Amino acid sequence: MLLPESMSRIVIAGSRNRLPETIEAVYRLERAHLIDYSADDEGFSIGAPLPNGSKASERLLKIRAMLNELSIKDVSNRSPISAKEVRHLIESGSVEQLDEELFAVLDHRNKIVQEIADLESTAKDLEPLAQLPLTLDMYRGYESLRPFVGRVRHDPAELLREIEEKEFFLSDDGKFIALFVRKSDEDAAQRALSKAGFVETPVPEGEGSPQDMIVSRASKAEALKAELADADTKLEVLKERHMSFVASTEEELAIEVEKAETPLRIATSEYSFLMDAWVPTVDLEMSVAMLEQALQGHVSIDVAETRSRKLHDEEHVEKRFHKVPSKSSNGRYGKQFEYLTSLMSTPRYQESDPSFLIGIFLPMFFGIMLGDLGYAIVFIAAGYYGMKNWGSEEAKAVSSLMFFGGIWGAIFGVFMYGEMFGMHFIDHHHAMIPDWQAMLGMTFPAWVDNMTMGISKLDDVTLMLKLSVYIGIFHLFIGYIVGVFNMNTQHGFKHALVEKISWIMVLIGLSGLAWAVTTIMFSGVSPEGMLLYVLVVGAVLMLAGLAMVYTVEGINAILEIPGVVGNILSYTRLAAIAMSKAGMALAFNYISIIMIAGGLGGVLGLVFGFLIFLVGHLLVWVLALISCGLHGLRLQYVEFMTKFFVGGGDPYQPLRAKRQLTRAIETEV
Amino acid sequence: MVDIGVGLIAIAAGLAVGLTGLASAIAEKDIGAAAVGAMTEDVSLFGKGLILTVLPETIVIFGLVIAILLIFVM
Repeated sequence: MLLPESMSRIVIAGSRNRLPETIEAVYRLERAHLIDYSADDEGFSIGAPLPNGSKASERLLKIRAMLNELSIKDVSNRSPISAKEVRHLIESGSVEQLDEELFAVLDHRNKIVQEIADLESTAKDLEPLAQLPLTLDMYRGYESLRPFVGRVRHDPAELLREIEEKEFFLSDDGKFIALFVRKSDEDAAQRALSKAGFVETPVPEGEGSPQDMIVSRASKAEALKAELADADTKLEVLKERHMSFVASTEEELAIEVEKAETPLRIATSEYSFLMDAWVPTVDLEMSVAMLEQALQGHVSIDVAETRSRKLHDEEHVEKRFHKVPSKSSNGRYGKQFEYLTSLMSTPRYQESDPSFLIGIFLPMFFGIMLGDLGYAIVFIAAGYYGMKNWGSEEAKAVSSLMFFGGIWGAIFGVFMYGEMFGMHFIDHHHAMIPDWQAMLGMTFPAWVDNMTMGISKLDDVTLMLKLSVYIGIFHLFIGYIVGVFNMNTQHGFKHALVEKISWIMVLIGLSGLAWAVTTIMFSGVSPEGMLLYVLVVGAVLMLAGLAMVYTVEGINAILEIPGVVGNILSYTRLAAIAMSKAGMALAFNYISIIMIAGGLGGVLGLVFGFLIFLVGHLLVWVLALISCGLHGLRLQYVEFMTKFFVGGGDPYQPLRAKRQLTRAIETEV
Repeated sequence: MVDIGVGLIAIAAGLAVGLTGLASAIAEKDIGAAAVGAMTEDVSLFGKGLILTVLPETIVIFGLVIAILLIFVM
């Protein structure tokens, strides 16, 4: 179950005029993972796109432009339309028609927008001119006069004194000037004006007083704005009417283009084509039969090989057939954790997919670290909601972790810790905060106490640490076992023995040795009986394992011993994070229950205390998600998966039409 | 009067957590910056970046374990 599905390679060959229907049949099969043609055999080369492709891509381009212009985003909630209907519409030229209609409206709209902008900018130019008592025609058309019109920073009258013949008009605020001088005085006037900080402004074309022009322009702009609103409603109507057509046409055309470009991935000669594809072995007979029936014997379909899991089998075939796509078969439960594996890498065809094992251990570790019925219930609820309602892969992975982790959290919270929101059901340890018995003012029946082991995260520290180390050894052991399995399938038992079983021996030997040594050191027991037995067997196992590793890895074997110790110790994070969560919960409980509700007293104290309780535990909950989730995941990635997982496989992607908005009809070809 | 040995244990525990925390922080700083850099090129690297960034957390967890042992076991 852990290995990806077995794959067989088929070769489809036929005459070139059968290519379109072959591609159609392969798409309908939805099981063939096409192998790109890359070799350079004599007489064969990469195929050319089907002739209908260029028209389709042209239309697709138009449709995508429309999608953009009409800002159509999500129409996935509509019920799908039949693909035949869509294709009929496309064939009858609806795309071109709509394109014309839409862009006529759009062009018109853009023109209006441009005109309004022009009107507004000239109105702005006219505004200062309206302050002067001149009509527009007075500003131009002189032969001997040079007009200066523009803004000044301060009154230039003083500076202009040396120019004798002149006429100038100043606006009331003294910031805008129209000056008329002889052409011969132009330079002097320029100098004088520049001292006053003169900036020339353009005078719009036209006649009559600027005042009147502003008014007429404003009314023109008003009329245009009404027209613009009209165009906008027209667009809105177009969008409403054609939204589903545009979206479904986009999908249909994208499929058509993809199909039309399929020949680019296969080998063709002048009169024939050759297509290689991987098909899951379980579907092999059915696939061949289906293709043969669809193509009525005009095309030959041969089974080239069914690939074994031995790595050296790769070497007997052409390079492009080396890698086999991995179609994971993790079952419904394991599937939910495939995303987490893919974050690391896609499993190779020859190795186990860790998704299912992650699905077992990750929620369990999450539960051990969480270990609190209160938070667990919230996690289960949030996870359940997310699994039902969230779409993206990341969100789905997080919500299934919350859901299953929450279940384990509740199990450990009840049976191991007997704890809810940081308070024990029945406290046997310290009286810093009340237990639930005291909170609810009742005595729980005896079975409540009997049901849980009543381990306190903050008091039974040694037990927690030991427990996490044991869990770590077990987890690593499973990791090495999968490693043995992988090595055995890829290279045979001899390699598995030397490269993986040896490490299991080191792991077990080291654990036994460490247990015996620490017991002797800390408890002061003399090494005899059972203890001595474990000590010796541990040391022998470890040395034997090391000797085997030495044969393949040389001196590196010794350097890897601290790595194993580090891996085991890394699992103490299970205890450490459980403790830190419990510590924070304790602090918030102490503040809210003892200090505020108890110390302040009264209704105010209760309300305020409850608020602190809520906020505090919400914070702990969020942190629990982050730290329990991430650290749990890290233990899978770094400690566990490195024991057996290499990755770097190709995901299995069969040729098929991805339809959401359209519905394929079986009878059409 | 608290026994001076208890005080020394407390100091040792504090040092164990504090110094390893610093060490983790220094390591994570570099990895985090690199991870964000990689993510700007390819958003799909988020998962790997996240994992790599929490790797050095192990250091502070070892420190925490030592501190816990110091306080509760000694």
